Amino acid sequence: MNMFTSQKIKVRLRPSLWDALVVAAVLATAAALFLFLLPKAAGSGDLTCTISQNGQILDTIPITVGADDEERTYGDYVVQFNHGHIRVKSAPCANQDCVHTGWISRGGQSIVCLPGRFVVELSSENAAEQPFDAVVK
Amino acid sequence: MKTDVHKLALCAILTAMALALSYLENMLPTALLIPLPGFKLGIANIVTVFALYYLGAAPAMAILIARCLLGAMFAGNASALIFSLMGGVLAMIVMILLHRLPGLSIYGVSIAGAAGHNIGQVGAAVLTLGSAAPVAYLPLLLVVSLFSGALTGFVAALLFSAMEKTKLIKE
Amino acid sequence: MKKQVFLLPLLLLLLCGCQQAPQESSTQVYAMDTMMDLTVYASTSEAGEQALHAAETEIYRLDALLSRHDESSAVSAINKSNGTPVAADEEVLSLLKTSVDYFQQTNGAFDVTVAPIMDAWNFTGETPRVPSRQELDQLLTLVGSDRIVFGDGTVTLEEGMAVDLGGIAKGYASDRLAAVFEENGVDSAMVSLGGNVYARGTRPDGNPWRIAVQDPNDPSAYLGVLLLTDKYAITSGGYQRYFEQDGVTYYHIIDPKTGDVARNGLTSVTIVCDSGTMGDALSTALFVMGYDNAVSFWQSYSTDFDMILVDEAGTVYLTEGLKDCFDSSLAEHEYEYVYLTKN
Repeated sequence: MNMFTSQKIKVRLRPSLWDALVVAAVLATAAALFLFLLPKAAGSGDLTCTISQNGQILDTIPITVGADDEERTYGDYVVQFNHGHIRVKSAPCANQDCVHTGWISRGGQSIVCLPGRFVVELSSENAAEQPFDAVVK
Repeated sequence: MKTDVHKLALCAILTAMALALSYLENMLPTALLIPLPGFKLGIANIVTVFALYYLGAAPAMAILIARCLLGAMFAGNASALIFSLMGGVLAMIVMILLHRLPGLSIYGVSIAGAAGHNIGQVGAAVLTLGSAAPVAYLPLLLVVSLFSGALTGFVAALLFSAMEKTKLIKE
Repeated sequence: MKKQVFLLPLLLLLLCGCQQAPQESSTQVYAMDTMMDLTVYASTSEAGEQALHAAETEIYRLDALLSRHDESSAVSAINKSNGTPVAADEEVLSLLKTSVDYFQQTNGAFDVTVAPIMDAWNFTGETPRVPSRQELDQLLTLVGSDRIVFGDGTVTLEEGMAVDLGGIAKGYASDRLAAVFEENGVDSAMVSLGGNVYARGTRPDGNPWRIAVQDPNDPSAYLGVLLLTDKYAITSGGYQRYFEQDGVTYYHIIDPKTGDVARNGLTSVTIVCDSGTMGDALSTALFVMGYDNAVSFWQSYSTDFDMILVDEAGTVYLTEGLKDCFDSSLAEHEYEYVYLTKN
């Protein structure tokens, strides 16, 4: 008695060969997606945030999508990380250009504080993550 | 059973159960596996599957949407709403399309629904984060959906056969 | 069987790896009050490094020549003229003459003699301030590129007058880098001189360079992406360097006619053209002109160029030439795009 009659439809309660087809379809989709994403993941799929001053790298932080809200202090600079978005929260410079820049979140974007030669850069090995080569501004 | 009051009461009970299940799901440490804020395995889909077969497409959809809205209200988290809605509605659509196929059992339908659920949630993540990065989790999530879907199907099948035996709910 | 299917794409990937790919070399240079990103693609990384080294040397040479803050620069010498002819280097004279040409062509909207007024505002210093109307009127008597007198290898500025080539130096530097890359056999390079972009050749994959255009109202958003090959893209906007006082924002683009911040309805002007010097001068000039004058300038100017204007309402105006090389699908916000035609 594998049938349960409800409404006008018969419910099959035991797995059938057709279910195996569904499983195969889902697996095939997963495999196809995996293969499609493979060449991009081969680099470092996620974004990397590089913080430097006077050309010296102070910190390199892998940015994961779900990363929590966090603040890091570099001398007089406070950099805020929030779910893959990064900004300079406070800076010692007079013009505050870097704070004005606001949040960045994509590979190729950067925040620059010229007076302090302080740079926050997002980079990505993944070409699909970096939809442009430069920003005109 | 076929009266509107019965049906309405059943809908309300099912909504409450779905809410309870999705609340329970919040306590599971899914974030360890998939670091997407708002992501859920889709255990609450058990109710959706049951409602779809037992009450039909429209009531099942209504229960689902009520669950998502109430869940977001209780959690006070609007961004979670888009995750549960996109996941839930996509799962629903897939299952509505498949559940009338004669060959498929409740397992196949649940698994397809779970896959739809995960695709919808990744879609929600892509939308809210404005980045295609979450798509990278999809292959893993699709494999996970085989298990969560089978589990959902198993529980629903158990439920139906128990009801058949006990004649708890009469035709 | 399944395994073999899986291996096939991997095999293809390996085969791709055997092909000789251009080597990427890049560097950052701090000069001309800005940060510069240089990336070149050459057959070997040694050739790339060599080209970058030559480019860096050229940038430092130009900075030393054109800086107004460097007491020993050629420009500083000219600024000490005080009414007597100063002998100047051929290159500086030529760039100064070009600046005066742009002054005339833009009807005074581009003017390198606003230096005394820029000093009064002190945008780049520790203590920017808003000069009084009286002070500005006083300083305006020292402004006017048509009053620069050129002699035989000399230039004369009236007492109190000064020139600042900051509005054209980066553009000129990008033109010079094109020559340096040519000499060093680099066909593919991406240069950003503090947001002034020079896209040399194509990307190493043969596709056009993709240059995002910043949204003047949201520094982390983009209006869209320009697909460019062998082009210069230069933007002037009020969002990069500014200060606030009593709730009013004062940005660093000055209208040479009033001495005041240029507020003529535009928030950003991007020029896309074949010369960095021209792009740099015109982006400032058209920003100062405002929408109507900028459009009629574009329609009648002797040299063809393309531009993107953004007005205070947030509308994005693009010239027709950009129709096929502007991708708006990456924009995060909804913009109204309007294409301008010449007729």
